[in-house]
Amino acid sequence: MYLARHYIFSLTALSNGRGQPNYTLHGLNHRPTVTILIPARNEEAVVGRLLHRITQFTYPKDKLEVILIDDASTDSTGEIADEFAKSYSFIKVVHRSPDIGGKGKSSALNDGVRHANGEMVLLFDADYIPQVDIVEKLAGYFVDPEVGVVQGRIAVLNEPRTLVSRLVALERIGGYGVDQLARDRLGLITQCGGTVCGIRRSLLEHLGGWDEKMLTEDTDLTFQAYEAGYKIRYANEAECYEEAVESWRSYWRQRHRWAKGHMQCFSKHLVPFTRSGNLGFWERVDGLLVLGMYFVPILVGLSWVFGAVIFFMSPVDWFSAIWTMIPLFAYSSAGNFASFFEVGAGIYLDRRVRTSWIIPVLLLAFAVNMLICSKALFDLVISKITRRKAHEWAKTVHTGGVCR
Amino acid sequence: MTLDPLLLMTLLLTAALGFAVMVLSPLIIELRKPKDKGPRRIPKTPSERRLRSIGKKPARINLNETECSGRSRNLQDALNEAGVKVTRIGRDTLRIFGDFAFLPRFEVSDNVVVDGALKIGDSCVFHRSVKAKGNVFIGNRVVIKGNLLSEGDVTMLDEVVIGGSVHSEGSVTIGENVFVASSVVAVGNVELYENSEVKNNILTRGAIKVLRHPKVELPSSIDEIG
Repeated sequence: MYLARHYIFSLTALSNGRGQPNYTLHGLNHRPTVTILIPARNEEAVVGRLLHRITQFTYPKDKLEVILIDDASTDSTGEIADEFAKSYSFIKVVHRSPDIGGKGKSSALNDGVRHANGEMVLLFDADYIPQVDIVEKLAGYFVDPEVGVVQGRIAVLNEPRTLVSRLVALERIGGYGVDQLARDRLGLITQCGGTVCGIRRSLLEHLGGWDEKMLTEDTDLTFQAYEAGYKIRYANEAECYEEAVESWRSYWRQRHRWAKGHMQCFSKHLVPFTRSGNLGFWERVDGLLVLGMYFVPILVGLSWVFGAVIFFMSPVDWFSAIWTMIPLFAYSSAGNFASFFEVGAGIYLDRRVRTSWIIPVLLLAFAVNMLICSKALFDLVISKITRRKAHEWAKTVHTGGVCR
Repeated sequence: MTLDPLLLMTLLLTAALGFAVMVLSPLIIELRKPKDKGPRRIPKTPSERRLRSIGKKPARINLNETECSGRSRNLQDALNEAGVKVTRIGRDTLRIFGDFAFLPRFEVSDNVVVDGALKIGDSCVFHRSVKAKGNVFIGNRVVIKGNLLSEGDVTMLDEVVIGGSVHSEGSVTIGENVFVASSVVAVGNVELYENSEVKNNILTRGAIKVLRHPKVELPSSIDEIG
């Protein structure tokens, strides 16, 4: 099913077919009041860059409010933000004390949204550099009362730095430029990425804010929004540039949190999502596939291990074994790695042919993700058995290094 | 003819090796000397795409919005009584499944999303936005204080007031003395009859026709539509 899904998505993105209405490109001028929330903990290297960028935004400043949540930072993040707040009346800073701060992004966002006045809440991580007209591009979709969340596109800024950052860039190209785009065109489950996304404030009020127990508050919000009857749209034209992780250690920590959080969401949303009366058949099918996504590398890994065990344990006729391996090899190339074709399609759409040369590196990432997902599942099971709270927020460190 | 297993294995291994070299050589070259330096340059100025547009027209209608207010009903109760399938999106939006027609002089305080075609009877008042997945037909003197969105064609009879924008994936027909407080955006054609006003602009991929002497008369009431 994942194989078919990835190929359908690639073909949908490559075709120029009309999807759902794109209110922004159609020129509809919808200008709701917007609150930008920026949760920041020890982000002195990057926070000034983002705030400076926001001051250049073309969205009417009388409809814009910026709230930076200084999440008990021990560096000068709070002071930098305070300086901007002195100069620009639309920028506010919420300082969280050490006894309530540092408990994760959801907790900080819940604190920030209490001070928000906008009809729409827009989220940015501190290391991001958005386009100057990104608010218009995202806000336009909220003309539709069915739309609860709008997700923008994330591109990697520090791409040429290391192998890991190039790998993340490839994943972003496939994930946003093809996967999210196709899901939006086909009216399936578009995911909220937790950053570069606009959320209707009435939706947040309806849900009671972000669930602080969840490690991936974005996936949780995605499913809660769909269960409440809202739709999530993807705005491919609204681009934002991020500083991707550059070391394997950071990659592991970040993806481990994502895998664990996604698995939490699987157990939380499997039943309510299946039973929700607000969803169509294909939305339901796609949602279940999204929920089960992080179990796929584990299943593939297990099948490889079992295959090897059977191969070496039982007597083998080498001649027939070779013939058997050909279809298996073909399936492993085109089946398990169908998502690589999405990356290829995304590279083609972005007109970055040279980048396709490094697609084989994704094999390495796939192998690493097998280990990450297996470890995440193991940790979750152990924490369930021992009833220990094992969900700690692993913060990604940003250096502010930009390649241009 | 049977192949020697050793020969077959040698052939397969050679093919696999060739494939690996073919795939990995560009990878090694690009990793050693990267030519692709990352995403496209970050734009410093906003990018604007605009469709064909015309400016605003000088005309304004004067509609007394309180005409309908004394006859309001709770929409959800009414729909439940009528056995219509309806769900709520969040707190402030109603979704009605299938085609739907509002009787004249209905007043609705929530956003309304209709999963089909929509007909709105004369003198109805919608305090928020209206969206339909099919064609929309709006009767005389209807007031929609929010936006009107349709994935099909939109036809507005006379003296309709739209407080926001109108967006249609099909064509839009605007009757006489209609007032749209923001823009009209349509993928198909836009036809305006006399004395209508669109406060901002009209954007379309099709044609814009201003009809002073219409060849085809709009119906005088929604009841004339089947």
